[in-house]
Amino acid sequence: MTVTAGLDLGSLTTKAVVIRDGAIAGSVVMKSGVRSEDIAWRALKAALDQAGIGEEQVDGIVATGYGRVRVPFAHRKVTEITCHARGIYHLWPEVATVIDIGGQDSKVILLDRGGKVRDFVMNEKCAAGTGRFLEVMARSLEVNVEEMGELSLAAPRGASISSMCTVFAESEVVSLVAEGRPVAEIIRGLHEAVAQRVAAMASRVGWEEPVAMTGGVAKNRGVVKSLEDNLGTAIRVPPDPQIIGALGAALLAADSKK
Amino acid sequence: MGALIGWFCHYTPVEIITALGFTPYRLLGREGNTPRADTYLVGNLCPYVKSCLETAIRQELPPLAGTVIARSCNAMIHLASTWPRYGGRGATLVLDVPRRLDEEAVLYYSQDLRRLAGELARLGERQLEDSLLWQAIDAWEEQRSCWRGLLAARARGEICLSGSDVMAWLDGWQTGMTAAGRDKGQAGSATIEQRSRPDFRGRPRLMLAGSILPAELPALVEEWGGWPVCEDACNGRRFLLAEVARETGDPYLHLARLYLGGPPCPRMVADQTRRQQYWAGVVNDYQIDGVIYHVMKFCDAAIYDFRAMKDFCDRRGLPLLRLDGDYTGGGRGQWQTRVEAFLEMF
Repeated sequence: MTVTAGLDLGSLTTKAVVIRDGAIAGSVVMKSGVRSEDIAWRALKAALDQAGIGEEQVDGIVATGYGRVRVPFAHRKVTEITCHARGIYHLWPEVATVIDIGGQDSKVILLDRGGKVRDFVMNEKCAAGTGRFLEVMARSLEVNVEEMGELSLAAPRGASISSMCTVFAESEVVSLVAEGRPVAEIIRGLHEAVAQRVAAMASRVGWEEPVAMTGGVAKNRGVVKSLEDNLGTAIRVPPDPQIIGALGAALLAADSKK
Repeated sequence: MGALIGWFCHYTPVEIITALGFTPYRLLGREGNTPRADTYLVGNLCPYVKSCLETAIRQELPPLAGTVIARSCNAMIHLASTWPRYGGRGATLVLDVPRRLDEEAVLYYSQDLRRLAGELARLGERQLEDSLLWQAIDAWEEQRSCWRGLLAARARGEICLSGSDVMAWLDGWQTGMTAAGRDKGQAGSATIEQRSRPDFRGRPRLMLAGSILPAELPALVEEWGGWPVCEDACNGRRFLLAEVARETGDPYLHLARLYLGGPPCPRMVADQTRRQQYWAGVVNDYQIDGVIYHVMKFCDAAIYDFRAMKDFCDRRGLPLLRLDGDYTGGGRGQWQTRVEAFLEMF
């Protein structure tokens, strides 16, 4: 029996996945804090408890995400680009493009037929088109970020959001609210703006079908729908898109045991 | 050591400065943001240029008898306008660099160099004679040849040098303030012998390319598992130019041919074919496995050049990573994931 764990320390959430003989045995998502090492350890313990596995039974741990360098008990550190690619390849080996929108960055990753990263592109020093962008807007609109997807799908049209800078877009949202535009239309407009930005990134790297989406924002059906409309293709979303990076990390840990 | 003459662009013939008894001192800017330079230059302008102006405004430069500004790109043209008023003490001398290599361009540039030499001579106490200029040309060529040999030995794997060391020695040499820079023909080799040599064998061999490279980039790439073996930048390999046949007679014609005929900079928009040939040579000679292209924010020449590099890499099947930077020294966090992910692809 091989037991490995993957830890994905993102800017907003920390994810832990434990796999036993290639199958997920436990997974947790927690809020990230300033003490990465503590959070990583707590997330790992929670995932192990869920799986009913003792820490002494773990054969390998891979850390990924921005906090990966702050996990001293990890046996290896691997970037989230490689981990998301590995996680998706495990679920759907035929996928050629992975779109990952996380808390503070978005990425488009091209895979070869063996699941290896062929090319990738990431957003620059700008929060536009990320989970943080949507969080800021949700706060301005006084809605929960989890509600945004369903609200936007109910809107007949999207409000036009001209600026993709988070600060200016927030000002625009405030103006639209003052004009009395329905919140659902504003949210749909925001989703379209995010989708346009990510689609432009995908075009820059030369995306190919089939496409899958990972990261916390993939849980927002409104963004996925807007992205599908922009790219003109269906996008596959795993049951729990937020843990794919951690899953990939756990699989890479298992790969190195073979 | 003679009085210092500041210079920026690698198309500035330092031989003329040396022949007149001055010491050429390259301005490479500073770490950090540029609030004072931002007062005088627009927001979307080359951060390197702003960084250099910032050092001058903050009076962080050594005393300069003058500064030569090659108006080789849009940002340098703006710098040439602001420098006399806000930047350097001492004279400001300008130089106009053609964007192509042909006989007309060489002739034009040689005449501009002769004019520059006359203006520089009026700052000092020495008249510039052709014989002195030829001596300076030979001395600089001797040093460049030594550097080229050193980098070629690195490429062949005969010596293992870190990119960060190479960049640091080149910076020292270009500012003319170090022993390595002053001792003719040494080119840092004495220092090299005394240093422990890092062993990067087995790592991906990388070309770092761009307009001007941030000093910290090669060291960071090494820290994250790469091996920079060629720095295609105006503060790297391009400054070493390329050997040209010795002209007889006019040293200015020789200098014009030497500088315009060296490894082309992204600004040489009418010389793209030669730039592609240069890349092909570098990839073959240095056995390059992948390319990291640093795009300086707002550098139009580098952004267009990157597209050409992408086409080149696609044709050669070479992995290519684009890094954006603003020359403030604050890129580490943004670059690390990108560089590590790029290296994981190998």
